[in-house]
Amino acid sequence: MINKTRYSRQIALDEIGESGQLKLQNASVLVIGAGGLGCPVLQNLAAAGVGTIGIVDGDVVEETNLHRQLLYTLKDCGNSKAETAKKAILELNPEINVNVFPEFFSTQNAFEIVFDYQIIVDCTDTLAVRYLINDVAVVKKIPVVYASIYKFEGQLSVFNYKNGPSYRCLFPEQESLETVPNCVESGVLGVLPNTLGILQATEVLKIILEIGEVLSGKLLIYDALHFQTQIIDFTKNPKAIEKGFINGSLLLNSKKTKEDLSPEAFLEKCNQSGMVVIDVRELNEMPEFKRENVIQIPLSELEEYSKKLDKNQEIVVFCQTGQRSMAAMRYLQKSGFVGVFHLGRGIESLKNQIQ
Amino acid sequence: MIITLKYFGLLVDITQKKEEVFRLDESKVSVSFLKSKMETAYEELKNTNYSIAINQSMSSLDYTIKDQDVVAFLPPFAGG
Repeated sequence: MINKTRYSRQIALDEIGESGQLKLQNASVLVIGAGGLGCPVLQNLAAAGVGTIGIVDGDVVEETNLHRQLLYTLKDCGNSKAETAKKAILELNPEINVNVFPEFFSTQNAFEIVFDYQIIVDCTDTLAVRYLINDVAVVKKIPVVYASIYKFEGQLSVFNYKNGPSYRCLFPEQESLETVPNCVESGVLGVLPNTLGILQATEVLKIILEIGEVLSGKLLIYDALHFQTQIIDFTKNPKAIEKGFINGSLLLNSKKTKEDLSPEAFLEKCNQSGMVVIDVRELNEMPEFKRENVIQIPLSELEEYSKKLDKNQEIVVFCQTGQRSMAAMRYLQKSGFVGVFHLGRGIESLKNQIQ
Repeated sequence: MIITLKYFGLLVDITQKKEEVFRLDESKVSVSFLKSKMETAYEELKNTNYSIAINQSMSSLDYTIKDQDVVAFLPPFAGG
């Protein structure tokens, strides 16, 4: 049953009607990132009556978010974004189902989270996570509605739509380049993500309703400062799609570990080739745990050091009891690292094994 | 030949302009040739990830650029 009063003004559109409203009600959309882009996306999808909405965000609301993330208020500061956003959109429309994932989208939870969603909306703020979303979506054949912003400019496109081009076709991944700044580093005009988020929500609705022309194979670039828009055409690059598919498939078949590692899981990770292990204790703390791939970076220096690391790189952090390493892990996840773990109860829990 | 170059996002910060007209002695050049020429003119471009579109269509490195073409330098944006 659909609520004919609430949705009457959009049901009145010939292109939607009651059958269209039913499609919206039966749809499931996963919104990854509940920040500047995510807030308007969530608000508009909820209001339109999208039946099932998933929200992924491991972050908490901060005062610096409030000039652009309009689902949140001052009293929400310090609370989970995913939970707060859920509450806010359910107030807007109590007739929908909302699932929350108050965690960062990572190599460990990606496939579990996207499991049965029909569309993914990429509202994240780092490139590594965007590539991860691409690779998972390519394997699962889920369309991705993408937007991103830089200062006064925004980009919008739809990937994997009806076998169309993917994110990697547009921006092939390049190794060892400087990271691309996010809003924290470069600043953002509050209205900009709202503009782009509303365009993302529009594409989502068009995909569900099967109306109009979806922005697949086209990149929209919007310059708010000069009010200029451009559309750039791009096509499928089989090699780029294959790379995403291979990465995604490897990930799908890899062993998943909880981010809190047991002593045994920690030692296993340390032995994996290419793993970066960071001891975030001060230099003189005992017991020592020295291996070829272990580096000592006290927590206070991690921010600076992590700028040098590839965000796709899997990283294990540890400290004495697990508290500082937990903080280090959260910091790295928030900065966009996609595979971070920590030794749950610290090196003390390993005393017997390493002596 | 004369071509128009357009910059977006971070590349505006690097080149300090949104657009410029470029004169080349050659009558046609490949995208990769132009890319290396640009990376000499603006060294920071070397460390930057960007794609190149010719006349509003994403192009490969071996594509030939001709007189009057509009070349857009498009970096991925990260923010959200």
